Amino acid sequence: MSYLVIDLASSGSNMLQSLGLLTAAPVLPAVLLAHALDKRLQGRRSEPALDVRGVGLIHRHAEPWIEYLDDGGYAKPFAAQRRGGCLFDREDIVKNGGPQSNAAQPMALADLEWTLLLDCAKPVPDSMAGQAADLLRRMRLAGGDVRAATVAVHDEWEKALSHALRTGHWIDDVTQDIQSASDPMLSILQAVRDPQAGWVAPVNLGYALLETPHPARDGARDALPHAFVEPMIGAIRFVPASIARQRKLTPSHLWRHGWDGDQFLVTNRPPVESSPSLKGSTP
Amino acid sequence: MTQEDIEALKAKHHALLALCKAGAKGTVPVPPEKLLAADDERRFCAVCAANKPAIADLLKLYGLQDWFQEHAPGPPAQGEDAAQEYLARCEAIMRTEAALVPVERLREMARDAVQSCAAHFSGKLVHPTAQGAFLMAPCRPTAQPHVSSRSLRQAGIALALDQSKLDNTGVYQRVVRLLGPAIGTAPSDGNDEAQEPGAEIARQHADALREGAIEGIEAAARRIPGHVDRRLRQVLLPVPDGYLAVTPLPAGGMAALWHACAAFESGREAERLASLDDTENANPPAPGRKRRGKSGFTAQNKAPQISARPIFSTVELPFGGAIVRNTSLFPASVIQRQMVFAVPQPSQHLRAVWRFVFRPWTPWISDVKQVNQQIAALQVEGRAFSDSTSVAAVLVQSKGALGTLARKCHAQAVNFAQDLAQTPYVEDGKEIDIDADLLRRKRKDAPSDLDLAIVNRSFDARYRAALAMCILDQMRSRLIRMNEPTQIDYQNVRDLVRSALELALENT
Repeated sequence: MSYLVIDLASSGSNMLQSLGLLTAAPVLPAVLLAHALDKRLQGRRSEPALDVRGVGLIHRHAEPWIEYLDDGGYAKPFAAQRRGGCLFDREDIVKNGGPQSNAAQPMALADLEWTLLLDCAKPVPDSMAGQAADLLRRMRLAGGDVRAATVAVHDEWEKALSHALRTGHWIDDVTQDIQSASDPMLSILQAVRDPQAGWVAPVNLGYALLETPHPARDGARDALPHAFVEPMIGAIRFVPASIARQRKLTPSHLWRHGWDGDQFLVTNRPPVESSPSLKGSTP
Repeated sequence: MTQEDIEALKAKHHALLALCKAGAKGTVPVPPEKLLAADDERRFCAVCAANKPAIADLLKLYGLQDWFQEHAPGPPAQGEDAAQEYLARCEAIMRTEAALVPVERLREMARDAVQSCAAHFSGKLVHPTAQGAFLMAPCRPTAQPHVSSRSLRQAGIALALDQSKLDNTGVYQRVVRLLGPAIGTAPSDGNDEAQEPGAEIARQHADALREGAIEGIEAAARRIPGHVDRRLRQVLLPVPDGYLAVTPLPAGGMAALWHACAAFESGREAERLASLDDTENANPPAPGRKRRGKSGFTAQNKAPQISARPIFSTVELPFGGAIVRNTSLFPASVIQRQMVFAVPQPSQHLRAVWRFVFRPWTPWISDVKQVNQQIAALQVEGRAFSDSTSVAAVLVQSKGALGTLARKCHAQAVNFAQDLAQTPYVEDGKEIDIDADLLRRKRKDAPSDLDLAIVNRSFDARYRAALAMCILDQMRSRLIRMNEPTQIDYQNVRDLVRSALELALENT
């Protein structure tokens, strides 16, 4: 068993959580980044290289790209965007008249500095740290380029935790705690403004399928089964590192992903159990 | 009719034109091109009446536009009373004609319009030309507490309908407007006549429209997109045997609910502030004591100003393209305005100081192009400068942009050294001073002369030489990144610029 502490800095990551909500905290992409790193390190081997069991998320810094444009004498804030064309492959761009032919995609950008704490079931040699850092520098976090990545390997949980929690804010899923059945939206907004609730922000913590996955939908990425989904907006709490260090965090407090029926979720709520597979996907 | 005739009619029927404005705020006048197309005064007045929202809704819903042009009443006399009476007559004959429309036809029309245009989730919001990504909210329950169409449904909150495409006939928009955007999700029990959606039209017609709309919604829910548009994002979600590609779709109704909740919270905050104000008024200050503030401006004479100012910050993000009504039933203020939620940000001052413990300090270089131009200009003006490090050449170089740059960098270094002297570094819970020993202990490489000068706050000749070299290196890398041609790589030019920088620093 090993623990990886990954310091990441990304540029131009998407902070759009859902239509109407911007929060510079890409929780779901960060958890899936750890999964993608495991897959890339695995390569063609049959067994995973890290076998990631959980991911701790520590927010260090976020700088949203907001520009102020003149609007009748007033400076109106606009979220900076990236043109959609650069998300497509070259052939596609050329065929459709270049990136300028694509209107701007709604994708609000931010620079981020996060630390990920990976709980790996496999023992990780120190030599793999450099390889993981190299791979990470060629990957993306929520669509933003990873500008810098450093990876440290620890054998003990306590050392890894104290390394990861040296500064910043530990991120907890508090959706269950603040949610009320009468109005899920209002309870999140009220928690954001409630000083007793801590620093709470709404983020996308999963996807609910809107339909049964289509086995061979035209245009699907890598010819995989495809489904249209809707975001599942939950709430996270930023806990200062000094307080998080006193909480005796264990690997059970790390974020993990899984399916609840046909809903894909990421969470670090201890009692929540999710299945690795998709079930009951008929809406 | 000529333009002069139109102008004369406009003057004659200005009261009618004023009453027949469209739009959400009732400010959109009758389009001039429609007025120009009128043949006579009767048709001119009919065009005006057709712009009034109540009449326009009936015309489009029942498809009676052509009929109305032929059968509109004669033009009214001048004046507002006559204009109002004319509009009432128009509405009356419209209703009489509409009552003759078979109920079954209305039902079919509503079903077809809703079936082809209804959607809760639409890819058109992501990209206006994206095709085929329109879905209705599923009816499955959820045990998860997150905000989704499922949890809202369980909480009894109706998700409003949006459109999958612009219905140019206007029928879909009118059906949704008459029956309410939550058709099918929150059906009325029909007991409350006043609140009944669609009360503007005959009861049996409203029922037919609702039945048709519900049939249309059921049919729309069975719609399965055949392809996924390349403009829409696809995220890979892990499943045991590989991945599932998913495309997140936004819902205009969801954004409208978020904004409504934010407005509700803003209203509550305004009420709270107003109640605080009332409490303040109920406890006036003791007699003889003046309140602080502007003279004569007291709580007693100040009128209460209750306004629900937004408490959640928003930024603009152009969802739905340039003309939102082409892609969504919701206004641009809902679709294109996003609420921004803050995340913690570390103090930049502390951050820069603590970074210095591990990394060398470098100045921020600005106006690199001007400095480069100054160097290039001096090279052109006199080749002697390029072959000389004479005092005169150095003096010339140390003026202008180069001198300004040197002074700016020195100011940065001095400010940073002051910050450094006032900020402790925390190690094992203890605060310690940032000094040369700490740098040697924490850094992989030995600290440079510049770093030692800053940490010791000794701005001597060694510091000037080190800062000049640092500025040169920074400038060179910036110029390379900017693809700017430069002569800074030539050793003699480099020496000259370095000497000029040192001289400028010495004179600072």
